[in-house]
Amino acid sequence: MDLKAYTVQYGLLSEIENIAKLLYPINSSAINLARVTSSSINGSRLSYYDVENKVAPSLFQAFSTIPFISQISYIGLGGPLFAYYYEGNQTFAMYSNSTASNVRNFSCYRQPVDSSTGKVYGDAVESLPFIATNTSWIEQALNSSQGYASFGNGWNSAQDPLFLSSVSIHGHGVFSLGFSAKALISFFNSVDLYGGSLYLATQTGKVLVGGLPNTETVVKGNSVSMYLTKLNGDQSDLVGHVSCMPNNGKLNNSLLNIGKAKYRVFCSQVEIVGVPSQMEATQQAERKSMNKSLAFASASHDIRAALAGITGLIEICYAEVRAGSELDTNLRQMDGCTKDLVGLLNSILDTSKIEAGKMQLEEEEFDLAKLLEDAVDLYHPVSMKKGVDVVLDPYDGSILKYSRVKGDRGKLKQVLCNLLSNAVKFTSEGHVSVRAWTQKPSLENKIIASNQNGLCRRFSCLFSKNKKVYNDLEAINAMKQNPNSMEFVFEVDDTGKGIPKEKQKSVFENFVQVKETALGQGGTGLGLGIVQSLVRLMGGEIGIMDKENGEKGTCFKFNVFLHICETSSTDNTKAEVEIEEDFIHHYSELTIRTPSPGLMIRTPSPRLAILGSSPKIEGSQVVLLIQNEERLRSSQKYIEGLGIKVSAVKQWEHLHSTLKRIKARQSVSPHSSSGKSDLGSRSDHYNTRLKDVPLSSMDRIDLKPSTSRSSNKGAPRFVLLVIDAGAGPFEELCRVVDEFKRDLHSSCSKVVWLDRTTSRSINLRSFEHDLIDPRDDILLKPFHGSRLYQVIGLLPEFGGHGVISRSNKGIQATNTLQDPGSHSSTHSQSTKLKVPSTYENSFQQVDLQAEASSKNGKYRKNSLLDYPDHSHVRSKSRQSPTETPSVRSSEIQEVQGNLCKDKPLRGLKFLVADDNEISRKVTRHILKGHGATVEVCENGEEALQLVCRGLHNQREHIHSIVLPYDYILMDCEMPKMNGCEATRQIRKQEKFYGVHIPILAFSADNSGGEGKKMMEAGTDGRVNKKINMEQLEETIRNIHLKRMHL
Amino acid sequence: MDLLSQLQRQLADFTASLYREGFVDDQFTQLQKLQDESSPEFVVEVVSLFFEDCEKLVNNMAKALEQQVVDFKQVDSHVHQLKGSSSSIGAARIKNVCIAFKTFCEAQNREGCLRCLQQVNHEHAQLKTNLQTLFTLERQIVANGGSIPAMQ
Repeated sequence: MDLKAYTVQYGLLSEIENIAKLLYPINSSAINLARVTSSSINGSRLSYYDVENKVAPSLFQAFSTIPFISQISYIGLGGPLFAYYYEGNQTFAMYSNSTASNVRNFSCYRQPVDSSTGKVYGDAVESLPFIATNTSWIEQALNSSQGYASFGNGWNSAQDPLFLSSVSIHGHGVFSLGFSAKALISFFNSVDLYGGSLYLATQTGKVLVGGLPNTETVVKGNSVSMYLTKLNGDQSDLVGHVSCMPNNGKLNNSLLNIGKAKYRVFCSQVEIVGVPSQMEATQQAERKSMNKSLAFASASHDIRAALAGITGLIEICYAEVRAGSELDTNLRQMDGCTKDLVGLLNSILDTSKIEAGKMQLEEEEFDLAKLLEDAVDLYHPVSMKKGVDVVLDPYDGSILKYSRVKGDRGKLKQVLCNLLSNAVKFTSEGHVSVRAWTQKPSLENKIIASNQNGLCRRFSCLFSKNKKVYNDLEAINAMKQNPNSMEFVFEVDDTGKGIPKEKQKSVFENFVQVKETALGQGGTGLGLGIVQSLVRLMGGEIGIMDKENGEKGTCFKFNVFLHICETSSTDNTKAEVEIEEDFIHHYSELTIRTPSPGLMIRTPSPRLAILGSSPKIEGSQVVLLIQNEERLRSSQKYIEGLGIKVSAVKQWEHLHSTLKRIKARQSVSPHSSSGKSDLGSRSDHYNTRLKDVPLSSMDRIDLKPSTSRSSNKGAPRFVLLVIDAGAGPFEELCRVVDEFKRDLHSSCSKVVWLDRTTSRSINLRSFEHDLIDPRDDILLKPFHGSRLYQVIGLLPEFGGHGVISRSNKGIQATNTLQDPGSHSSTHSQSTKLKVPSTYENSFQQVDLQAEASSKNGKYRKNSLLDYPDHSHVRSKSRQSPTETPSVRSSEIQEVQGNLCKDKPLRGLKFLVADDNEISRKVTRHILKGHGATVEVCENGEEALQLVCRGLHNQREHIHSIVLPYDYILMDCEMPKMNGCEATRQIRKQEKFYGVHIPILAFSADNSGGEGKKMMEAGTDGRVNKKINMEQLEETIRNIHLKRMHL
Repeated sequence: MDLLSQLQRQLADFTASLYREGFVDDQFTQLQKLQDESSPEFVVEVVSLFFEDCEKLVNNMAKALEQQVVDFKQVDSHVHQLKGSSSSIGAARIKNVCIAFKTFCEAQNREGCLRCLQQVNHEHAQLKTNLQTLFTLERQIVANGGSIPAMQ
C-alpha cells in the first residue's frame, strides 16, 4: 500500500515537474526582455516620450509573442507607466502621461489597442492609478537585482490573478510580465491524478488549486495545514498538517481523514513559475568569480609595479656598493629573488588575465618556421648540458610552405616555450623533438578526443547569456571558416618520465603538478593551465597523445588556426621556387621517393632553390652520421622526402664501410642501361627498406649491389657527408673522411661537420694537424631548421655548388663571443675558430688570435674587428716569433668578454692630433672611455714625429712590423703643420716600412672643403669632433673591409 | 629622501630643458656618461676650460674686429678654434653661431662678424649660467647622498 502510494506520488510529481518544465521558458522572458530593452535605452530615467517610443514597441512585441502572457507593463521610477493587458479578448493599453515636472500628480488612461499594430485607438478613459494601491511588488522588484516573482491581480476590471515576473532595469524602472494563473493552472488539469486530488499553492500561501471539495489548505512555512470547510463556507476543524520538507530524501506523508475517506497527503515543492533566481545566482557566482579575477589581475598589476620599484632601487644600490662586498652579493641575490617573483607574477597575471577575459590575441605577420627554430634553439644549449638533444623535426615540410602567417606570435611562442621547457625539465635522457605541420581546417576541430570544453563552449553559446563567450566562439568559428585560415598542428615529444594516464587531464588545471615527477623540479604548476588557455584562445585544443606501449615520455599535441599571408610577387621571384615538374620526373626515377608535387617554399630564409637539372648528373647522396637517433631519423626522412638518397649511419664504426661502398660505386664508370624496369625494381627495394627495415640496420642496406647497378653515365654523383663530430673519436672520423675524399674530385663531395658549442670535438689542433680540410664546413648550431635547409641547399639539385653562400646569415659564423656557453668551454684553445684561409666556405671561423701588441707585448684583442682576414693578416704581421697561438688568448677574451660590449675600441691605439686643448681633452676622454689607448699631440709636426719614432722603434725591436698607432685622428687646421701636410708626410714615411696607418680627418663640421683636402692628402675617412661612436665604429669597419680587399 | 628625489627630478627636468632648447647636444651626454671614478670632475673641468678659452677667444676677436683694417684671417682662425672646442663639449648653440660667423669672416663682412660676436657672447653667458645651475644641482644631489641619474 505504502509502496504503491509512493509510486503514484512520484509519478505524479514527475509529471507535474515535466509540465513545469514546459513552462520554464516563460520564466526567463522577463529577464530577457529587460536585457534586450535595457541595451536600447541606456540606463537613465526615461521621459514619457521615450517610454512611448522606445519601450512600448518592445512591450508590445513581447506581449504578442510570449505565450500565456496576459499583462505586460513598464513602470518607471516616479510615475511613467505603460502597460498592455487583455480585457477579455480585447487588448488595452494603460499609460500615464505625466511629465517629469509633474511626477506626483499623474493620471492614468486606458485605451483600446489594435492587436496587430499595437497602436491605441478610440477614446482614452481616465482611470485610477493602480500603482498607488498596488506597489509592493514594484518596490520589491526595483530593489532586487535578480528580479522578483509575485502573485497578484491584473489590471483588467476582473483583476484576474496573475503570476508576475518583475525585473528591474538599472533601478530606474521595472518590467513586469503577468501570466494568467488560470491558463497556467489549466496545464495541470490534464494530469491523471489516479483518483487523487491536486492542491497547488504558491510559496507565499496563496492557494491556486483547491483539490478536494470542502477542504481548504493553509500554507505556513514548510508545512501545510488542511481544514474542512462547512457548507456555508466557514472554516472549521483542522484535519492535520503535512510537512513539505523531504526527510532523508523521502517525502513525508500524512494520513488524514477527510470526510469518510482516508487520504494519504504528500506535499512537495515544485518550481513552476517565477523568476529563475537559481539561474541568476549562477550568473552572479560567475560574475563574482569574474570580479575576483579582475581584482586579481589588477592586484597583480599593482604588485608588479611595486616589484619594479624594488628592482629599480636594487639597481641604484648596486651603483653605490663596492663590487664583491657582502652587500653586493646580497643585492645580487635580492635581484635574483625579485626576478623570480616577477616571473611568478607574470604567470599569475596571465592566468588571471585569461580568466578575466582580458587576454586578447594580437595579430601580426611572422615567419612560423623561424619561430619554431628560435624556440627550439633557445632550449637546445640548456638541454644539451644534460645530454638531451632538442630536435626540430622538419616532418613533411608543410610548415615551410605556409611559413608566412598572421597570428599572435608572442602567445604561440609562449606556448611552445612552455611545453619545451617542461619537456627539457622532465627529460634526463634521450631527446625532445618538436614537429609541426599544417592541415586544412576541418569545421569540427577534432584532433583531440577529450574535447570536453569545446563542447561546453558550444553549449554555453546556445544557452548562456554571456555575450563574451558567444562572441569569442563566433570569432573562432569565423576564423576556422576563413579560406585563408590554416590549421597548424604542433607536437612536443619527449622521452622523459611521462605523465601517468590518470593524471593527464589534471595537468592542465592550474596549480596542479604531478607529484611523483615534479619532485625537486620547482615551478608553480601554472604553466600548462595557461598554455591550455592560450591554445584555446587561438581556437585550438591541447592534449596529451598516447604513446605506444614501451615508449617513454610525454607527447603534447596542440593545434591553432592562423591566417596564411599572401606572398607578394617580388617575394615570389626571390624566395619561392617551385620544384619543376621535369625534376620530379627525373628524380623520381632515380631516387624512388617522389617529392610531393609542387612543393612550394615560401620562406625567404631557407632557400631550397631546386633547379631544373641536367639529366647528366646523377642524384646526389647524403651520408648522415648523427649521434642522436631522433635527429638522424627526422633529417633522413625529410631529405628522402625531397627525393634525395640518404645513407644513415648510426654508429661511427660503420662510416668507413659505408663510405667505401659509395666510393666504389663512384669510381666505377658504369655503362649500364638505365632501363625503367631496373629502376623500378630498385624503387621497390628502396621502399621496402623504408618500411620494414629497422633503423639500426639501415647502415648498409642501400648499398647492396642492386642499387649500384643504376649508376649511369655522366658526371659522378655528388656526395654530401654530414658528420657529427661527437659521434666517435674525432681523429678516427677525420681519417675515414679523408680516405674517402682521397682521389675524389673536390667538386663531388662536401663535408659538413656538426659540433657543439658546449663541448667541442673540433678544436684548433684539428687545423694545425691538417685533420680537417679547409673546405669543410663546421656547423656549431643544431642541425635543423634553416641550417638543415642550407645544408640541403649545398646539393646540386638545389642549386648548390657545395658552397654555402656568405650572404646567408642563418648559417654564418656563429660568433662565439656572443655565446655564453663558449666561455665555459673546457678547451683551452682560442674559443674562436677559423678555418685558415678558407673563410668563404666555412660556417665558423677560427681566429688564430694571439697577437703580440706593439710595445708592451701585451695581447690585444678587439671585438669590433672580428674580421677573420684582419686577424689573419695581423697574426702574420704581429706574431712575435716566440709567441704561438696559445691558451692566453682565450683567457684574455674571457676576461674581456663582458666588457667588449661597452668598450668597442678596446685594444686599439689612437693618436689624436689637435691644436685645440679642449678638443684634445674631450676626444682623449671619449676614446679612452671606450677602451682605446690614446696619445695626443698639438700639431701636425708633432704627429709626424711621433709616427716616425714609432715606426723606427718597431724596426729596431722586432722583426715584424707593428703599426705604432691603429688610427690617427688628424685635425685639419693646426699651427706649424696642418693636417693635410702631416698626412702627406706620414704617407711618405710609411712607404719605407711598407705599412699603412689609417688616418681619419677630424673636423668640427661636415661641410666645407676641409674633408676633401684631407682626402686628397691621403686620409682614410673622417670623424666628426662631436664623436658619434656608432659612426666611428662604422668608419673603422669600413676601413677594414677596404683593406681586406687590397 | 624627499628632498633628494625632489632634487633629482629638478635635475632631470632641467637637463631635459637644456637639450630641448638646444644649449647642449648628445656630445655633452657622452661626456657625462663617460665620467667615472677615475675622473669625477671631468665635465666640470672641461667645461670651465671651455669657458676660459671662449672668453679669451671672444676678447681676441673683439680686439681684431676693432682694428681699422680687420684681419679676417685672424678672426677666422679664432672662430675656428671656438667652433672646434664648442663642438667638442657639445655646446650646440655656440657651435652653430660659429658656423655663421665663419661665413661672415670669409665674406669679410665686419657687421655680420660683430653681430655674431655679440651672439657668441650672449650664448656663452647663457650657457654658463645654465651649466652652473646644472652643476650646483648635481652637487646638491651628491651632498644629499644621491647619485646622478644617467642620461639617456
